Amino acid sequence: MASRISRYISTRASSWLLTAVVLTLLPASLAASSEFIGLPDEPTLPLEVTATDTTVIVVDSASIADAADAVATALGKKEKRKVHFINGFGVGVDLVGLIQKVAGSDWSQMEVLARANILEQFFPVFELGLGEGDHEGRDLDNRFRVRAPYFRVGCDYNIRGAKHPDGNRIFVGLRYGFSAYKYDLTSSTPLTDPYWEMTQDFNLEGLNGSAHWAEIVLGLETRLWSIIRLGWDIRFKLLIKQNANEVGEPWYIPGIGKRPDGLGWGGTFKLMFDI
Amino acid sequence: MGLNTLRSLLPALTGGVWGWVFIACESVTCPLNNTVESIYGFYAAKYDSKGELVTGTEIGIADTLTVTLLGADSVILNRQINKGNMKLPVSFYLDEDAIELAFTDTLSRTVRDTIWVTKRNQHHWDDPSCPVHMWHEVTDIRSSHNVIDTVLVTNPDINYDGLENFQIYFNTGE
Repeated sequence: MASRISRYISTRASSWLLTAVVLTLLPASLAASSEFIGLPDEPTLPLEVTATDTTVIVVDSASIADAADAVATALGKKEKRKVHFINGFGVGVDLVGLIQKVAGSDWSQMEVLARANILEQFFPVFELGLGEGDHEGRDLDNRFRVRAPYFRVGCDYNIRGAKHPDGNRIFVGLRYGFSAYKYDLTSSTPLTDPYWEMTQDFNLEGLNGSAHWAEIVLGLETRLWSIIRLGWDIRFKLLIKQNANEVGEPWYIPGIGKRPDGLGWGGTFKLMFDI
Repeated sequence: MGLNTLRSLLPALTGGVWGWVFIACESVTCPLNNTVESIYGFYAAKYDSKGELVTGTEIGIADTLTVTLLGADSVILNRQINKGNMKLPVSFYLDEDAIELAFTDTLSRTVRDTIWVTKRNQHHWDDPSCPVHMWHEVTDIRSSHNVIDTVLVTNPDINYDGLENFQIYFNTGE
């Protein structure tokens, strides 16, 4: 890569100053920049350079990536990265659920995802998770339990697009989610009729429920190293339809979170791998 | 790890805060008015020329009214005067409740009627942190007819929404 950069810079005599700067910075920053900053692994050099003899370029960046970018910008040409229609696939895991589980939260969602990268702009995604809730009432021993899978399908749109192949992405997206589940409502204290003085246990198990919902996604993502990415998003959730037992709605709905009253919000914190 | 690397990581790292916010948020909203009662309205029984009941004429009971929950042996209303309606508890687990209404006039003459309410009982809860209640769906109602002319079901769902469930039409002698 260094030789290519040197070759194109040397095509104009007035670029000698820039060449010196680049070659000075190169040894110290090449590894870090190529791995972390998100330079394409195979840049499509040489670039067309049209600088005149009077061109003066000042480079104050600490990385070869910024230097190259500054060169291209100053010369009026940006580096073009070849983007394929199917530009790759990715898999990932949501760390929020894992953190909740470790922290002892009374609900958590273990979730994985798979997605495709189309033109570096559209990312059709399938998310599959296992939602668990086990919550005991405050001051009461009423208990809610559920454990069921859920899925979401949808698509993210990378606002930055293919013009910024630096590994950072800003997403907006939509999801449709569905979960069918069975939940338990129990209490260790029997329910007593104060007038007729009759007592019965309150143990309702295996109540059927299901939910359809939609999500609007706003998120960020960055490339950590090589194929490893880290990202997070916030999600505004709209419960489209819920079928719950007439006894009462579930305290937690797998895939959505704690029972939203029509609208809710949540988010993910994802570790992903490009494949 | 250079400055740009940190800059790239910043959005991801700050995003972690969201995760903890999600975990930390919790609120409980239990309904304030959560007394499950059956609500009876008192009406005068009047019939039109076709012999059909004219509904909606509210009255107050001039006689002294005492209401007993049969089976519970509990006097729920004692010697009430000028009542226009009454709110009664409902058994949690019985399929049918029997309620005795005793009307005593100024000459200490007492006339009794009994109302039988057939229902389906259903647990109800709002949140694990809220008390569990029993809600009921009325499937049938009937009564004796000493003072009571007709009993109508206006809202079969007995819960804590405060709506009238039954209309009792009394013989007014008119």
